[in-house]
Amino acid sequence: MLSSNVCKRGIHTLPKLPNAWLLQQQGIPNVLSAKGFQILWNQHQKYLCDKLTLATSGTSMESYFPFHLLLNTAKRPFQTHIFNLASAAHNNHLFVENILPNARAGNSQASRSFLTRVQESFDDDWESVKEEMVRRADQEILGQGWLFLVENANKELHILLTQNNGTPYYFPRNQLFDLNSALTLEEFAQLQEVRKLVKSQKGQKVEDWTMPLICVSLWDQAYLHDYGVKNRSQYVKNVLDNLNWSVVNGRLYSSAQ
Amino acid sequence: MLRSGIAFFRASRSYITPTLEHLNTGSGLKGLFSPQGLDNEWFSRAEHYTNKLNSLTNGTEEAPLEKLMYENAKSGVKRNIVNYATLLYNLKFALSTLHGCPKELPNVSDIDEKQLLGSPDLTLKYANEPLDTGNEKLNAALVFSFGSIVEFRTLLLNSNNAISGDGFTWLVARRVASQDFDSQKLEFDRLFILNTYNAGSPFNFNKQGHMDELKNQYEKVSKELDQEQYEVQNSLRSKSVEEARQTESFKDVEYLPLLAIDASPKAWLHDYGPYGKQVYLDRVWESIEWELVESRLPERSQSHQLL
Amino acid sequence: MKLQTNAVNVLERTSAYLRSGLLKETPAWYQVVASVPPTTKFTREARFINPSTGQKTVQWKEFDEGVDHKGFYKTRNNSFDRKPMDNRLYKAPKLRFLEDQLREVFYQQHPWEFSRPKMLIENEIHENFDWCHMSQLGKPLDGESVVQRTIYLLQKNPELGMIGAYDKARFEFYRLRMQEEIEQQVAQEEAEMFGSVFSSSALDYGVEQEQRVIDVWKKKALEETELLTARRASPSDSWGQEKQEAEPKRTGEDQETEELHL
Repeated sequence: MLSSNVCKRGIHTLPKLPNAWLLQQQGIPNVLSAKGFQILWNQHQKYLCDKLTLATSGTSMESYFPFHLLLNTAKRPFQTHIFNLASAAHNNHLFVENILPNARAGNSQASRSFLTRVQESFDDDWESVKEEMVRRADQEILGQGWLFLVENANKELHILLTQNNGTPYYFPRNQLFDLNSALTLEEFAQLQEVRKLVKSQKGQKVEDWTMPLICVSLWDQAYLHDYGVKNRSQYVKNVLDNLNWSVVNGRLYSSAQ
Repeated sequence: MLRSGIAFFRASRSYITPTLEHLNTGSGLKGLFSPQGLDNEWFSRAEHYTNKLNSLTNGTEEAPLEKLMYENAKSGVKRNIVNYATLLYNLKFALSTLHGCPKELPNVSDIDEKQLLGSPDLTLKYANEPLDTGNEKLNAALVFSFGSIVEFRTLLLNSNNAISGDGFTWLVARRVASQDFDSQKLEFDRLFILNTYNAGSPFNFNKQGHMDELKNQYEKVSKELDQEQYEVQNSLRSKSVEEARQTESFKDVEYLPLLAIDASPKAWLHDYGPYGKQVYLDRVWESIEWELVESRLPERSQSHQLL
Repeated sequence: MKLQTNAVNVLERTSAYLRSGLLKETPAWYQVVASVPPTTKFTREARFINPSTGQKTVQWKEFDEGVDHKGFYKTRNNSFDRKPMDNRLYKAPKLRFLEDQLREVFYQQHPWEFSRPKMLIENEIHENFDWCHMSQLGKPLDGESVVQRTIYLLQKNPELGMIGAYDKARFEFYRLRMQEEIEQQVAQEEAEMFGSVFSSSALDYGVEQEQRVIDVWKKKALEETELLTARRASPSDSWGQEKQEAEPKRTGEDQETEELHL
């Protein structure tokens, strides 16, 4: 469901969205205008799919979904261009899914288990966590990136900000730090720990069972048309206020599943 | 009159939005940006970064951007200040050489997915080459460093096109800071093309050794080795390739920027659409004011040929 | 024996049955056989000209048209006069295509193109590419693209000539490859600048191996230096003793340096 449908061998096509026609006419209420949605989905996502097709067709990776592609290429530095595209396509789909307007009105509430999990992990309520997410997105992502609320293997929630096309699924490729500017000692220590861990694995895959619950695109393609250069924080806030909770609740781990 | 008075008053205590003479609010840049596109790329951005800088420096005395970039470059805590200062500097630098071209702006809706599959243009002669505008000195330097103008153009535009997020592609002159070099004289030995990402800066002199310092500090903290023992253990340890690239590669050289191209979607998304980066770059090439680039070019050193 | 034509006439007979109502439904093979009817010519004819080369496959002995010793005129060759020029007479002729020649030239000029992995298993055959542009969705950029694009350009624009079309396709290919390569390099650089961590590369592995040897060497070098300084510091050793010791020590050193060289 999260990945592009593969119709023809190795050709990535736009995933089908419910009410796609309506979305193109009306956009996403309170978040994106019709034109903004078209840029984000019909053009940008299509661009990613096409580029991904060009990069993978005729190779051993041609029949993989973007999700598998990103896991597969994450370890190999020389395939970063494929990783970037696959990760972007996957994240963008995650993002659009959790901001799609709910089909049934009034059914959009955070589930009780989500709220208790937030309370347990942050020791704070959802409203303040939301503010924290907006603040950190503004502070930490200077260029392009993604804002995630993730659930790790211990079922704790974390805010994760990835630079450019970092993925939440594999922590050596989270791309948490911007090495273009100076690092603090804590950040460097964290980076060094990851390096050590990856090295000690001797080519084995490092296990990471983090799952994204909420994904917000901080790419210009998502907000520039509707919000302009200066109002990215407003956009992030709007997205977090208008989440499709049935999708987000469904992503949360529950023992009943 | 009133406005200038206010600007003067503000300048005394905080940063003001930089301006460029050839760019005016409400009008675009002929053949490159529409009014809205230019606003996204320059006016809004400059204003935004300046506001950020003001709120971060918090009313302390205004220092030149270069000074901010230079003095705080290794400080992880002050990095936000450096980032916005660098961004402002980079952006102004990039736009200073863009002077528009006589073509009409392309229609955004015409740039669609066919753009990705389009066959590359095989011309060897492009519009607005340095020689066309009579910049022979620059032309000679480019041909010496890159082989030909076509090769230079291909490398420059491809490097920029390959940046997936924010960043700048720079044309830089390399200055070797060796001992027998006259430190006062501004000479270069070769031109290079360089990518920086997000708020990276082509000036390396201020960040040199940052990674090494961090590593030393980190190891001291984590292993709690005393200094002597540490020195003994590490004096012969070779670095991994990535570490070496981060710490060793820019030791004896300085780079002097001549030209910058912005890769951020803020520059091209509005006027060229998600498929239009290549079209944007072609237009950027035609809009470059080579005269200005040449004026930044120092003398070429005759005696120090590194290659 | 009479020629057996029953099988060949199956279409006519079925048509007759259908018309007369003996058969109610048209058999599934009916349309196919109707469009590709079986041959009715059963005589095998000798092939004296090779269709793929246009050359004769057989040479006939010349004869003079005078009266022979029996008093007869010889008017035509008999089977003994035939001299086959090609003993592979019944072998299928070799098919020659322009594409093959182009492929050969391309891969001869670009031998490293062979080093790129190629998929041999095809999930689905999809070959309806429009070669008005070089890069195709669903096909990697490789020598085959150059070949197909050359053919397309040649068909569109015959006055371009074979060499011209091939060169145009080739240069387009170069430009796309350049773009591709820079894209890969920049993507990697960018990822590293944003804090991606990769496991050690082949180069790193080499450096690590080297480091191990250097560590051993350093330990030994330190020991050696200590030994030397100790000896220099205590000149009380007599000359005679040192001379005796000199020989075995030398070999020991040699061994160590040898180890180091390993």
